[in-house]
Amino acid sequence: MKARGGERAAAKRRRSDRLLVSAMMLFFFSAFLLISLNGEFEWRGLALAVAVPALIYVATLWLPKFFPADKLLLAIANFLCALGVLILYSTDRGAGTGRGMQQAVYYGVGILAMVVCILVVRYIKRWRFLIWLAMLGAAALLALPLAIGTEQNGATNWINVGGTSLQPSEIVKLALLLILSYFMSRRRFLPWFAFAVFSLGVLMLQQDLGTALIYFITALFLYYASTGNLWMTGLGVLGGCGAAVMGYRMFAHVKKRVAIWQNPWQFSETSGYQIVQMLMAIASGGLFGLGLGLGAPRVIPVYFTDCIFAVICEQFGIIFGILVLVMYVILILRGASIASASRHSFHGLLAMGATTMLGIQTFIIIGGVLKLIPLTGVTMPFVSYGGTSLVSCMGLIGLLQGVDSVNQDDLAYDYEISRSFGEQSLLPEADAAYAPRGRGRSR
Amino acid sequence: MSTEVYEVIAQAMRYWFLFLMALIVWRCYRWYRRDRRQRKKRLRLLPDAGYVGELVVTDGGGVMKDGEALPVPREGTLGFLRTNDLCVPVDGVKNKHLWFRFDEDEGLVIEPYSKNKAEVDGEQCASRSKPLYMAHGSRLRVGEAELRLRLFAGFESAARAPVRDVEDERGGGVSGAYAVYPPLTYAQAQAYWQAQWQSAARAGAYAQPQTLQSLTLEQYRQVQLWIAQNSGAAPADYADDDEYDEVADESDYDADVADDETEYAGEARSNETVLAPEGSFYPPVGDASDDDTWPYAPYPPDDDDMTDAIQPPRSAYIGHDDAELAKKKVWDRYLGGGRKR
Repeated sequence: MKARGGERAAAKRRRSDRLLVSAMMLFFFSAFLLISLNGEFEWRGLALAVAVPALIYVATLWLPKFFPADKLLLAIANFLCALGVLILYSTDRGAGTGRGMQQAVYYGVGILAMVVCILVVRYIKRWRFLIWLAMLGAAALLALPLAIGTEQNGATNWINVGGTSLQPSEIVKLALLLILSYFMSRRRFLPWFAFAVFSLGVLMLQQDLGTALIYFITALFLYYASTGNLWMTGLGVLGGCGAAVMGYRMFAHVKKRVAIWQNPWQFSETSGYQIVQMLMAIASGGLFGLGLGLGAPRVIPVYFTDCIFAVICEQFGIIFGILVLVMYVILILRGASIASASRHSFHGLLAMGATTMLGIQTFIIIGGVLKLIPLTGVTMPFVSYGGTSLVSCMGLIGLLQGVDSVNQDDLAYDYEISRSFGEQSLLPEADAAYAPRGRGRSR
Repeated sequence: MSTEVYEVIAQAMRYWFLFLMALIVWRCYRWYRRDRRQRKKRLRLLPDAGYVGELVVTDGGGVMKDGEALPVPREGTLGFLRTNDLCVPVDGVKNKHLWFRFDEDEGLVIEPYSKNKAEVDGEQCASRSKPLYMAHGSRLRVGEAELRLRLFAGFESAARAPVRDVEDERGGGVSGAYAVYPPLTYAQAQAYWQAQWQSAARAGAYAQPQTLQSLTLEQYRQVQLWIAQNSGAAPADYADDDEYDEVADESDYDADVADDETEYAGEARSNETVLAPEGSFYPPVGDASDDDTWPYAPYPPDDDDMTDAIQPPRSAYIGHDDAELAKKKVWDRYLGGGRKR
């Protein structure tokens, strides 16, 4: 009876999961179909209307059959990635650019990166040698733009490899998390501090202040989560404030950004043009938006990366924008929940670091777009155009998934022990969840 | 499609997209809440999930009660303050005294914070690069308190870590004991004890419940043979083991299971408290007088109430009845006997 109850609960849960994924697939199918009808009919739009929902289905419901994965995290990440593809494709129409299709390819690569990160966290048990190796590699990669980098928007943080541009600081994010989490979990403060300071110093030299802010807050948060030392954390915050003041005095473009943030309308034709256009786009979208593919998103400078949230609000409306923010909040809560459920400090810190990184990055860019804080050049996770950024964000999701799969294994182990001592299970739900099914487990 | 028609359709579709988005966010939120609830329920039903053992107070320095048990997570801190994972508010213990982590190979690794003192089985931590290792039964002295580690079932290092200690003490006298006899699974051990208790009950004898960790080397060998016999095939690890084949061929176990039971029942009748007999690889240190004070003998010989003695313990974690009672209570209260309220 109890076992049947468990099966019923599991079947109900599966139906509920499928309903969510179906709603996502329907959303993107109808959206891409609509866009393809704008002006001349375009077969690429129709192809995306089929391919993107299929990719969502595969990555959310099919992939967890092979890897123990958290389907909710997958669903949210996939939705946000697909939303990015949709917005970029809609802005491509009539502009002669191909960012939407490129982003769809990056999305596929991101899924591969996520799978690799899941496997790495799940199966690598001895990290010591790898961490030192990663430390050397990350330091070299991070310093590379100082030697052969190119400047974009005031920051020298790009390198050209084989005709494509890469942002090393995005890839180093993953290594940074692994390195900081490892050393803090082993209570090795010196290498942790050395690597954090080195990374921040290099980023300051590259004048990539947005990424430096993300690194700094993540490192500080990991320190507090690991040690609980409020005094030292407070000292770190004070140091950060001091560095911010120094940066303001040293760098002219920081001063300019702060001035624009304080009163963008004063510079509405010059340096404040971007933020003014963003605010106007959000306002013109109103509550329900102008409609997909309508409006004038291309008047906003770099509408496809930093300002993509303004384009979303213009086309879909402010309510939709708020719902997108809620998706991010659920993602962060889920990440925090995975971190708190972890039984190994390395995994806990890794999950907490990945969550913090995603949360801080989202806050910095959306806060910048909404004029809550000065605008800095970071991407909106999963949505903004950019292969490195998308792959890095999917990698962070992969780290979270890896930690979650280890947590599930630990819980299943406890459950198995408990069950082996009882005549019949008291946990029909757990029976259904942990019974061997296919080649992997998922929840 | 003409621009005018497209605009009309796109503006109409705004509400469709908003509806779908609201539905998606709502389902995501529901999913998140549902998983959180389920996780809490599961953890309630597995009250010791996430803990590797417990430190039992054997000398509370007049502040803590003797016998008080502090559940030990995989990693954490021990200190005077309640913010620590293990709070030991005894004189001589610093606010944050030491850091510990459980290692699958080494047991519980103890690293005192700078200048703090800690002793494990009389050995003091010399430097941070040489941490202390605690195995099942090891004694930890911090300040005026003494605590003894009881590792829960399921953490193989409980059987593995002592081998190193015994080798150190006896110059490799029992080296390879663990390698020859691989660890039992819990299902196997449980099946063995079930059979033993049943045969003892049939013979009207009292079977001293034992834990996997408290087996002597000889008993361990017998259990392995019994398991091999009853599973119908030699364990994979024995496949190429000549010694095993020899023993298995010579044994009479496969001829008569009843003999088997009688033999085990006879053993059980001896009613000895399982301590650290000669040749045992576990526990590694301490003598009989030490173990007399061990508060975790499953059924103390002087306990009058032996009515449940023939029943195997239901939980590996805490007192068998406590675990069962806790599970049933939670089941009735939160799950309504299977129906969600």
